[in-house]
Amino acid sequence: MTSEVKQLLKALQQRAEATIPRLVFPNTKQEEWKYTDPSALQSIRWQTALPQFESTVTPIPEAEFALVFANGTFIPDRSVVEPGELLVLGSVLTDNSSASLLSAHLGKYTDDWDMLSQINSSSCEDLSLIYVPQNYADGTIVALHYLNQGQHSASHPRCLVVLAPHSRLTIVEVHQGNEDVYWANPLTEIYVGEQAVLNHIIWQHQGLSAFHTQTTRVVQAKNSFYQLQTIDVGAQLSRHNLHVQLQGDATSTTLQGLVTIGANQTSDTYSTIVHSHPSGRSNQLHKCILRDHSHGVFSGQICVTKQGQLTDAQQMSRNLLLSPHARIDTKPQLQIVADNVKCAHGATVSQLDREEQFYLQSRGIDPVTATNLLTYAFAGEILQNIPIASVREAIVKLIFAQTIV
Amino acid sequence: MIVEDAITLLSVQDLTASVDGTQILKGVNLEVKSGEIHAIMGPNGSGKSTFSKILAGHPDYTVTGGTITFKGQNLLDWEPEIRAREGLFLAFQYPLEIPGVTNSEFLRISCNAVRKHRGLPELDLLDFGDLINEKLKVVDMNPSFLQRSVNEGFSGGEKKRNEIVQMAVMEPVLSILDETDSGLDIDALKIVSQGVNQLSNAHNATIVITHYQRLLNYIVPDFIHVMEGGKIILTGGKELALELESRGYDWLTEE
Repeated sequence: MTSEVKQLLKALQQRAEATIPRLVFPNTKQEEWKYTDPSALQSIRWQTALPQFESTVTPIPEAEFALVFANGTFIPDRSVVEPGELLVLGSVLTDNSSASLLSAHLGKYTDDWDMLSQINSSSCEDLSLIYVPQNYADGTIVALHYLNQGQHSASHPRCLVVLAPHSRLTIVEVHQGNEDVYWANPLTEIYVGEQAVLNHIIWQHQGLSAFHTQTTRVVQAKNSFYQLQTIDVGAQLSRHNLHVQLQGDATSTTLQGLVTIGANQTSDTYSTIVHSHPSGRSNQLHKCILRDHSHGVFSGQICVTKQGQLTDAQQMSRNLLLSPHARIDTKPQLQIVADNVKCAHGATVSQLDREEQFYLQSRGIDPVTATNLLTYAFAGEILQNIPIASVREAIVKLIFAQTIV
Repeated sequence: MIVEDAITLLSVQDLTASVDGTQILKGVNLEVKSGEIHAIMGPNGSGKSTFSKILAGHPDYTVTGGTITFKGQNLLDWEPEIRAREGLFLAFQYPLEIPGVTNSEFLRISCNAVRKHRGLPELDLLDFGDLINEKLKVVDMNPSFLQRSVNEGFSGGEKKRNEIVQMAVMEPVLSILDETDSGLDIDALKIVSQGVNQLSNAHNATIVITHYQRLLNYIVPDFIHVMEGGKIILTGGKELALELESRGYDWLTEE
């Protein structure tokens, strides 16, 4: 019976292999890659990563389930998986019951014309699967730990998350690794069923030489709720392709991104929300804190089709430049066809306020602490919404530790 | 109050200063001893606020001449945070809002920075909680303000009261209140003034900068200085305030 799973994976791979020759590798001539040059990715001869790891897993005590992946390969003896109603599989190859879910959802929400997704699909020999049955709403937290290392090694982990109607789940992805030049290209497909609630956290804390290209594809059914917090700290080049597609009325979507980078890091978020059904609400806030020579990019599309009447969509990009050499390219976009909607978007770019700094100094606070306090205050709006205390505290600590000179 | 054996806390001599190349202070002289309350009055644009910002070390102002001695040391050698820790406090005319930083966090960091500098043990959350609850009483402030972002959404009066709470926490030896009365209704003015009076003693001093005589009904100064054109042109006792109130400032410059 696992052969059925294997056949599904084979079909996914073959479809990707047939498509890839027709696609062009991302480059700055393409509108969606205008501000981030991914050519370095193509100049390296990537090797298939071996399932090795040295890094320690960031502990998340609140998580009942913890799946650990070394360079994309599931490591069962490091993982914590409780048998029960909730189906949590680090490897679908080990379980026959996954075939029907895979055939219903796998590869159904991805973009065939996206090279990075297709590269992920073409090397997809296994994947992790989380299935939350109907009415299962225990407040369960599932942690996915992706550990990476190996000079010039590439990994393409894939995960499918399916929430049946009226269910509830929290997922936290942690991507981390050492200082090798490696490439992580994860893809997560998510289906949020009717009236289901998914809290999703992506903590990207890769090594500073790494390339991280991540794809998140979300489909929301009627009355569902999806909330995402992304925290981008690591990688020399990171790109997040985020796509939310609505499949029913009155959905609610909250997307919050916090980027805090320095040195020569680049972090690019490319997101799209398609309001193709009535009465959907979406709220997106993207914040970048840029130090040194870092470069932040945000392109956010909100599309409201003719069917998307009574959509309420808010989008805001806020950016804090802590260095005269840092750079931000931000492009919030609204494309609205429907005529009865409430949509707003905007972008701000600022530096730390001298008067605020002086105010803090006049209260005995040294300039470095003052800067850190004001930077933390800028990030606070997003940090305070992270629903897992240990993750929130670890990230707060991390941001405080990034001493600014 | 004027006390015997008072020590000189602040001595300003021939202070000149500019901002963006424009000379604002043109030779200020002032001496403040412990126990004293001084008021600096004067029309708008006379240099009162500039003077207070220079004392606190605002980076936009350049001292071009003269000296400022604070507790016997050269104040100009110190960065703003050192001045604050050494005991110089400026209550801002327009206190800033800092969204995302809670008032309690801000006050505790400030309190501990000052304590550390003075060789006192830093306070943990619990001990600080006890301290701050005492300090809030000085201006009758509701403890719920501690959990709000610094000054965010505060009314004008609440912001000024929050300044006095900061002053109470930092226990300065010289407090400069820059137009603390502006934007206050009579009740808030009384509360703030009572707070300031409660904090002043024989070992510290206060400089009150104000445009109007009204505040000086509640904080009674030992000396009143009139500033005009970047200089102190007249010094007198508290009765001078009433004269200024009835005659305005023009007669001073006409004479």
